[in-house]
Amino acid sequence: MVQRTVVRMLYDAGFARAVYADRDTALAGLELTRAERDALVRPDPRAYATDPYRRARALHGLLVEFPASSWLASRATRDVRALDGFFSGPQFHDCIATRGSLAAAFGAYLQRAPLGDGRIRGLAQLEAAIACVRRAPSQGSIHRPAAAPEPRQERAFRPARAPELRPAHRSGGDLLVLSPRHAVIELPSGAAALYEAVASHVRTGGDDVGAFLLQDSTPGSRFDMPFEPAAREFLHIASTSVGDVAIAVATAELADLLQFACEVRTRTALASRACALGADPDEAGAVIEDLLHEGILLRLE
Amino acid sequence: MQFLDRIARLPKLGIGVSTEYGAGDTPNALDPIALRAEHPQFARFLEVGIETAKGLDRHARAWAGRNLPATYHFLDVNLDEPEDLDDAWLDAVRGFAAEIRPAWMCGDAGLWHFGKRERGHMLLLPPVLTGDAASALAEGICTLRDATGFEVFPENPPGQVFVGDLHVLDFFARVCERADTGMLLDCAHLGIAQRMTGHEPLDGLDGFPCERIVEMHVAGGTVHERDGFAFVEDDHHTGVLPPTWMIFEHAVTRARNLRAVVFECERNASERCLPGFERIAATLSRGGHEALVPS
Repeated sequence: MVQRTVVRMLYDAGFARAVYADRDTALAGLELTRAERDALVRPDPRAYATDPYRRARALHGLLVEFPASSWLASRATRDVRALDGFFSGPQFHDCIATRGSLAAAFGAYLQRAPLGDGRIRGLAQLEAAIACVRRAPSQGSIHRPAAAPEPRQERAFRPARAPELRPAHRSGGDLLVLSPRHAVIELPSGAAALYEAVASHVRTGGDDVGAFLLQDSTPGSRFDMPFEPAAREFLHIASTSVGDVAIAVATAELADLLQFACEVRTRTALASRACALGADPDEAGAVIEDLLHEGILLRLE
Repeated sequence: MQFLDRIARLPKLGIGVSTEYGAGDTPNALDPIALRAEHPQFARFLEVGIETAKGLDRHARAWAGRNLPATYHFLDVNLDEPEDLDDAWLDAVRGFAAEIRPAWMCGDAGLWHFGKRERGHMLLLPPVLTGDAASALAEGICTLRDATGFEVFPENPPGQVFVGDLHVLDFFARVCERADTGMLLDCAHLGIAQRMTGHEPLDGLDGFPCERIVEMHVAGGTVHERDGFAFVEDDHHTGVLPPTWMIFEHAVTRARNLRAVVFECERNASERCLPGFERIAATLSRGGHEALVPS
């Protein structure tokens, strides 16, 4: 916890000042001893601030992974540097304190920050899901012991995670689960098209996404595309290889089935779900076989 | 077998150079193979910095392809976090080790990344200098040694913020004793740590078990000032700061089991590095390590 607090102080000068001013208040709730709290403020406070570009470097990496939502945010705020506020917010601090994923935390920040464009939330949700499947372990390592807990952040999507075997489920045949390299999310209708359009626009700026977002003068109105929160679309996101992610619109039935498979299920339970969604028994079995063949579902040994 | 007995099996590598993914592609950067051809005494081995997500670049592969001596310098493991030494990472480490066939493994024993090992999480911070942290670090060293079959030598990391009640050398003395291992003493990093904690360059060295020093690093740094606060950036330029030389020259005479010295100058032109190499060689000769500097 000491080391994680140091990281938070390095990234957030305001937090560091608060710790120096009143460490008991600033560090309330953290499992730190008196000696550890004292040790955190023993260095010269300026030692925490020797790297003025730390946040900018980290933000740049995040912009690369959230090009579309960041572009919309940069139009709404008139300055992409406003997103630097992420490092002073609760999502960042919670991420560090709980050993979470910085990309997931940034996605959560974009979904909640009052950035003035309701579409940002949807695209941030999509880009967070993309970041999540990119980071998923390969199939061969799915039985690794679970690492530290995920960050305590609400996620509107439900990415698959490395599952734990549940012996009680064994009575219905094979144990199956959605691959962590796949995710299904539900978004306002038009989100996928808007994402493709904006992300393609950002890609025209080359590798330096941060510089492009700073310099781009394209008005946000260029992407006034249909985006209807009242209507919904389901997107299937698949990490097909390192750094290669495919997005496809899924039917409501397939999305439901894959969402159901986010938890470990027996083959029988999945087939029953497919039947409840309208498939006949033969068709349900074939769908499950296809999903296994394509690596979308995994069979647990 | 105790480490001080095991060390007899380790080769005397001499003076070497370091690299990491992409460093050799920096404009005008030294080419380790060319340096070895022109000045073999200064490139007797290559210390390969490896982040498993990136792997080996063409320079490291070219060196390995010639069956030349190497060491494996990890860049992506928090040794004090057991969950960080997961099967996938260990498999990758064993794979890269099989390619470069290192004499041993080593690396900064600090925080290489916050959270899980993933993009955007990389940084390098020194460990928290407490007895508990030393024990956790020692356990990680033993785990990695058992998992790979290689000796694992912790290196004292750089940093601007040092937290904890132990002097950095006392901390690493405990780590080495508890893991029963040797030490990679980075003289530039130690100079930085001494400065940031209000010590003189040589403070604590006389009480350190220098017989455990297997490898040493020498590197240049730059003094910066921000808001009136002076600090050293460990930028691996060729300008080695006086405290670094002072530490190196002092420790060399006490490190009787020294096997290797790296001049970390991987992004500089070789002709700019030669004075540093020559001073290292002269210091080793004067310090009783003639075997590391063959004529």
